[in-house]
Amino acid sequence: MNKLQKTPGILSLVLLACLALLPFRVAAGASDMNDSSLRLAMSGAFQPFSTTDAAGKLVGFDADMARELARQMGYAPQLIQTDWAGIQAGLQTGKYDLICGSMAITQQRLEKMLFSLPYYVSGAQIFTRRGNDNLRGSRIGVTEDSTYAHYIEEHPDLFPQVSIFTYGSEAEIVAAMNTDKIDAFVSDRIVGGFYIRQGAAGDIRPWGDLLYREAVGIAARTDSSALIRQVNLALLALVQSGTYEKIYRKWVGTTPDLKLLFSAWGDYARHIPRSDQSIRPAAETQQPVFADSLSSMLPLLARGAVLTLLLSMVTAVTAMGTGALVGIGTVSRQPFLRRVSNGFIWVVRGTPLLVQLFMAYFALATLINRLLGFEAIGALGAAFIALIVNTTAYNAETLRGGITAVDRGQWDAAASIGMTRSKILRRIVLPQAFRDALPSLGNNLVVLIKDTSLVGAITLIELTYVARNVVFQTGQAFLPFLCAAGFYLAMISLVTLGVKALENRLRRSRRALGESI
Amino acid sequence: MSDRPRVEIETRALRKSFGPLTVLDGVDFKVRRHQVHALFGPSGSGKSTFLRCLNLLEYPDSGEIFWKGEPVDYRNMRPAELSRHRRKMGMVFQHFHLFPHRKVLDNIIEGPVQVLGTPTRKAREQGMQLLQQVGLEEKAMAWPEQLSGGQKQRVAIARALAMNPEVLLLDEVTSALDVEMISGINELLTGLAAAGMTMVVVTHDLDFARRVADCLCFFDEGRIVESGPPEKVLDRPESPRLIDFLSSFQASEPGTGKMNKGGLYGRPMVKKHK
Ligand SMILES: Nc1ncnc2c1ncn2[C@@H]1O[C@H](COP(=O)(O)OP(=O)(O)O)[C@@H](O)[C@H]1O
Ligand SMILES: [Mg+2]
Repeated sequence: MNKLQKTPGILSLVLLACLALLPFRVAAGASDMNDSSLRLAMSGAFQPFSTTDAAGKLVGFDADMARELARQMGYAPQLIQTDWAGIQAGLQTGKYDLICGSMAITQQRLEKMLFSLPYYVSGAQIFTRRGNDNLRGSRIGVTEDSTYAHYIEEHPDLFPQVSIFTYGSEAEIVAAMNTDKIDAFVSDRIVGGFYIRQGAAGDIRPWGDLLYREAVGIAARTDSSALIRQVNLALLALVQSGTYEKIYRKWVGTTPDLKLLFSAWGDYARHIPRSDQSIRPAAETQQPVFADSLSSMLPLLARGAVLTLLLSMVTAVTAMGTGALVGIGTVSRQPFLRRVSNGFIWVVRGTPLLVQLFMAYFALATLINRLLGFEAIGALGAAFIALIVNTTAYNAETLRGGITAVDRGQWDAAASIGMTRSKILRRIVLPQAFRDALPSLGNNLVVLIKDTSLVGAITLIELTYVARNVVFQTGQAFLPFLCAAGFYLAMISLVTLGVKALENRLRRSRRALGESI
Repeated sequence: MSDRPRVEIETRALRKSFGPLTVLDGVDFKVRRHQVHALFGPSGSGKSTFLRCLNLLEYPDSGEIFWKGEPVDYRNMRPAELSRHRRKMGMVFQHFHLFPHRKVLDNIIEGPVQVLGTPTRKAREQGMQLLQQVGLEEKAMAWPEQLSGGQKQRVAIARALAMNPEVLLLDEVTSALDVEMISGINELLTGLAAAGMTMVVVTHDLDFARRVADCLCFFDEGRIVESGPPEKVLDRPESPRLIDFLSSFQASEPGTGKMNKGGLYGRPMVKKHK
């Protein structure tokens, strides 16, 4: 049974819209392509729209739609999985022809890309625990690449005094809900519903109406208007044949609200400029847009840089001390201490920092906060814990190597004048071990600075995260990353120079260290 | 024999093994006050290990150690007691083991300041006197790496003397030195002996031993095979091992007073320290 037959009024409206939009020169689109395959990009990290199956194949609503649309258009579909943060840049640089990855049509995006008719309609939805009837002062989670954070900031009436936490994915948001990191989250209505059905968050419910409606379309470069026309025709055909409904039911789990979809098509007809000229930003407006985004992103990047600097410096200083302690522990005469120190190094060096960050944030911090009954350790605390633990292990291992490399004769000589073991360590062995280990310790510091780029995963807005976000928001693919790279390079160069200077000083005047330790 | 100088340190039936290798196989030994005891013998016979057992850098497996007649309970010693025992004896090593991150004078005052608690100023004054005694006062502010081997060994001796030890343990202190440095160090040691310092010297320089030592001990396979005054041990050896050792020694390098350390009894020379 075809829904279109039941809604003749809407159908005629839609057809009118399409007629207005789609000149009957469909074949012209073929000039966009130089072979018979059509490359469509999606993140593969947006259930139930795009994800990967056990074999690594892209599946989901977007994936099925992409395949069916391409076939309908007469191309062989070639699905490309790419990180969401860089998905617009990839389109602009010609890595694929279309983005079929649940990208909402927004005014900002329309300035840089062409969009097809919406292929589904959803919207921003607040989800929270049952009985939580007031959002005042709540901690609200959003995904880092969504427009929800912006919306929340713009609507203090709806979200009074809330604080926003950004996460890498909906799965992490659900984990954050389950571990009391946040009280509510804003997500796509369909996506949120999907995660509730997954059972990952039993007591979480949609709260209130849709904040706003989002029409989701397929994006193309501004020079691909013929291709977009083809997409629109193909979409229409899929809806008419019932293929669309089948795919929708398969992945979303409900029957598509075609009335809603068609009314979105009507909006599309009204709002989207008809000709290619007006879709493309006019030549004279291009320059200011560019300059504006560049100057507006600098303070953002600076803020990220400050956090990166803070994380690096505090961790570097702390982990030097703790690393020395654990390093000494590995050569302790207490078998227990030795085992604990070596075990610590083994475990920490054997696990990725990202895993440690998540463990510190989702497990350790949650446990401590629940025990204490208040939020003692936030995201920043968790990041410090993970970074310090990680760097401590590497410093300890480096120092252990330095200590064992000190000639046994040094121990003998010091012991023969009656020095006790702790004194020998402190005054004779450690200064020499430190001197020998200095280049490697400097290297640990460089690794640390670069590793701080991972803390974005637990909602901290450090430099790399800001750069990615700026890229996402402005579509500027290179400049933000260039700025970030420059900043890292400057920091690391300074550290390298500092370590070199210290090395030279110790070589020239070895007493300096011996006296200070 | 009550007229002989009193015994500072004595070992009885000292044994030590490293794994399956028996290094000391029952050593009875007395160190007498103001006397110089020279230990010699083939490489790997356990001389260094024996010295290291005396000041407990190495723990014997069994046997007894007496300090001035008092048994040393090395099996359960607290760190402070261990420190007190060790600093009664100064030790000088073949490869010096100066602290490379400390200047010469700081090497010397490390023990007095850190272990004895001598005020730094006083320790420096005494350190300078010692440096003068070993002829290196102008090197007080040099780094160890700036010194020649002979100079390093002088500093090491000064560092040991700075602790005011009652016995000096010297382990092949001239073996790593160029020939022209050796006589200087030997002179220094002769002077110390003349001043009454009690010494235990492991050496391959038998001419030096004959001149300076009151007592020579021939080590072989972890035992003292023969001991006595130099004339007796060197000129009228009794045991076949010692006769064999002395003849191969004289055949290998006549006149220089240094023995060819490789190949004695088919044992390779073991270099322990870098
Ligand atoms: N710490 C040790 N571990 C294992 N073997 C050792 C150790 N110290 C010495 N040895 C061995 O013990 C033997 C005697 O060594 P040593 O006392 O240095 O002899 P010497 O000083 O007479 O040449 C050698 O075979 C040596 O390799
Ligand atoms: Mg030896």
